[in-house]
Amino acid sequence: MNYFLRGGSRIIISTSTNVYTNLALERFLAENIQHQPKSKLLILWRNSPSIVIGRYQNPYVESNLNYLFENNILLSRRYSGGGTTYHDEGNLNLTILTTRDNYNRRKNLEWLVSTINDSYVNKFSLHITKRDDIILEDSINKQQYKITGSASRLTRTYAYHHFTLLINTNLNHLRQSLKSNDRFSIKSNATESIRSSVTCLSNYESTIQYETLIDILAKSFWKQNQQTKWGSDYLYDYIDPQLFQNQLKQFIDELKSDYFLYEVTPPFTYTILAHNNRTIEFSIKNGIIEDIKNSNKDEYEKFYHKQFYLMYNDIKQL
Amino acid sequence: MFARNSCRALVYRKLLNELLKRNRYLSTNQNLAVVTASNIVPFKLADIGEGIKEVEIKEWYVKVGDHVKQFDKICDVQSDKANVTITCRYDGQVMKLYHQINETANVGEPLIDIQLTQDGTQQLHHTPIVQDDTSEDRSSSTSTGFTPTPQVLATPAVRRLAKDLQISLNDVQGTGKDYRILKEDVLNFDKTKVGLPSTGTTTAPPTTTIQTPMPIIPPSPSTVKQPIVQPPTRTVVSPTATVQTQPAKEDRHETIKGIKKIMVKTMTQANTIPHFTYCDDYDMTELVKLRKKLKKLYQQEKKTLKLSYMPFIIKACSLALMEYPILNAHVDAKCETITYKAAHNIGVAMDTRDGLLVPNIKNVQLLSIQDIALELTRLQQQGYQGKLTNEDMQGGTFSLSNIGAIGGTYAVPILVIPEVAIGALGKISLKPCAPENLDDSSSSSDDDEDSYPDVEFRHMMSISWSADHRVIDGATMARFSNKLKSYLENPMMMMINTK
Repeated sequence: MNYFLRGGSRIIISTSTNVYTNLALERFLAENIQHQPKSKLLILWRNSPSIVIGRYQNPYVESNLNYLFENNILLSRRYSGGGTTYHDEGNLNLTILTTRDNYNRRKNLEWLVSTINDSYVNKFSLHITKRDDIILEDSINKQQYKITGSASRLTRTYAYHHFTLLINTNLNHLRQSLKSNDRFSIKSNATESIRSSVTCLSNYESTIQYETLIDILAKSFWKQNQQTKWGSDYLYDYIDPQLFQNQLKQFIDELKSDYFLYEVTPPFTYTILAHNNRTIEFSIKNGIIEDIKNSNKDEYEKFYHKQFYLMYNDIKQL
Repeated sequence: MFARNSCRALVYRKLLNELLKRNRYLSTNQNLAVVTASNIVPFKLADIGEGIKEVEIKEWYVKVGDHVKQFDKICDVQSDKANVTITCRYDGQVMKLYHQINETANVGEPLIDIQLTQDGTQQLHHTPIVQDDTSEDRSSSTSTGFTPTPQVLATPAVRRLAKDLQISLNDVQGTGKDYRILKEDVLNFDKTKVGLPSTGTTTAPPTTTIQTPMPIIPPSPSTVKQPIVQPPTRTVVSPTATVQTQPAKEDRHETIKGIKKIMVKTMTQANTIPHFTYCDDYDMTELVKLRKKLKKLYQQEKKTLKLSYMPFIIKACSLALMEYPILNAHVDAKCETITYKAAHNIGVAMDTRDGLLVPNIKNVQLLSIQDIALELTRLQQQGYQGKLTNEDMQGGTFSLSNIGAIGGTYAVPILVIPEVAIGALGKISLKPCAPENLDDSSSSSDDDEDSYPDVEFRHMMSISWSADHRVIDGATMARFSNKLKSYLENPMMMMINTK
């Protein structure tokens, strides 16, 4: 691990598929590596089925929490901003970690687009939109589908841009998980995801596989970043976050905590039409129900000042 | 309200004029707004990049009345999927927050007001911000003695460096963002100014003999060559020469600074230690064969082998040091204590961008030859970029200098204090040798036939060891050298002894 912390361009592949571990690893590397100017660290990771919401988003708006629970899909919040993404082993995560000054989101996406376009000529034609999304144009039905989602985090000492690449994801789970039943019941200033139609690369090139794609990406990365190479046959290192539990523990605990998942949600109001046609409005701040409008005495006592996420199911029963 | 504001403006204007008179502007930062006598500064939202003009405030980490220091977190903002943490530029007390959460803030406009902790003579910590056009009357401070150009962007550290080197920032071409002048720009300008060639890669002169290849940088080590070859005599121009002599160029003076200065200090100190030098020749034929074989094997697997002789030599030194630990020791300045060091942190002299440096590979005793090769490459690359860390430089216990990569045979290396031994490796060249098992009996019988024994050609490397004669005796050095020799001449021995 100390080896990595010295900095320099490198490719690291995480062997963990736990979303909390991987997010913790990303943050740990960002904060502890001595980032060298003009060098890039590429981290590749995949998660078991999970939903990852942006730092300032509302999980109730972005995802169907009951569906997640029923299908063993984890809920997590990342440190960077932006919208919500669905992850599984068919969705590759790429993080490009650099110094603050070398942050260049567009360049990273252009690298990905050119790599894939060059390696799968005649299969895909990808291009980048103004909003920095990568779109696949279907030549048959002339539709445009999103295949990546981007987000970044910038601080004084580092900047990272991470994005996903839909290779072979279960689109059914994706659609169902992201379809919240509450999105009309909630009003807030939280970042809202902009929904788009998505597709997977494997729908257009059935032979595309994670392992070969990794090699293609690695080779293309080194071609672009010739500067510091660790021996001519070096492609990437595997890192097992399990070996660094101690160092990652504080981040993992935070990412898993109810505090970070629910309580940091920006303040919002949750309106529900109760059985006797009353419209009850809950105001939640820092995860706590601070105010309830239009409720009767019992309901008020039951819900006032309680954690919203604990009371959620009961509220839905009203 | 309007009247009150204009009154305040009048008061400020008066104070401004006072300051102008007394020239109490803050020093070289021409880009900032004038600071009023009460020292409240608006901290503006710096350019985030990507052409972003406005962001949304998502979280405040400070409130009015909080004391903040430089680099403390002020707030988190979000712009189109990027979540940015804004850190403070000054030390002081928060006086005002300009926005609430979820409000939009514009780049170049104030985020908070800070009252600076020190009085007006403090130099503000400065990272380049958006140009502020509202500060008129830009009368510069004369602290640097240069005429100001409002466009020059540079951090205080860079400005100080330029000042030390007596360079005007106006002459330096900035290569940072917004043409910001970086430290490298000033240093490069300094080199070109003084006429120094930039220390780039100098490849070892190609020879027909096999050298110990150091991939990028041949070292210019701390050795003094023994006068085996006569120094070139100065050619005297005869008075009858018809060659037109060019007018003599001027003498060039150069202050010794930086790494050179450190070299002066350490060499002077090292010179107080009584050195002795012991030289020998090692037969590297087996090692040459081994390397050829390894290279072929790798080629078969379609990989290329990046392995010079140095990793083998370094590992062999470590194995030999296990039996002669006194050579892997430190002595204190007064030579009262010897510390036998447990780790074999073997230093390798290299010629880097900054000059002669001896970074070391840590714990060679625990590393495989492949590990050593990787570490060596890393150190060379970082050295080449001038990015060796303190950790790389400190803690060395034994040093090697591969002068042979450039050329030469024997040398008298100078110790790296507080170590007690150092080796200089000459070049590996083919030399004729008598065969190993020369039978004495056969030579006598062949006397009358006047035949000579068959001559073999072997790859020989000359090596010169220097040691601290106060604590190391010749016999120890000689025995160590023999041990090392046996490892290098019989690489198999290295394999069976490696843990």
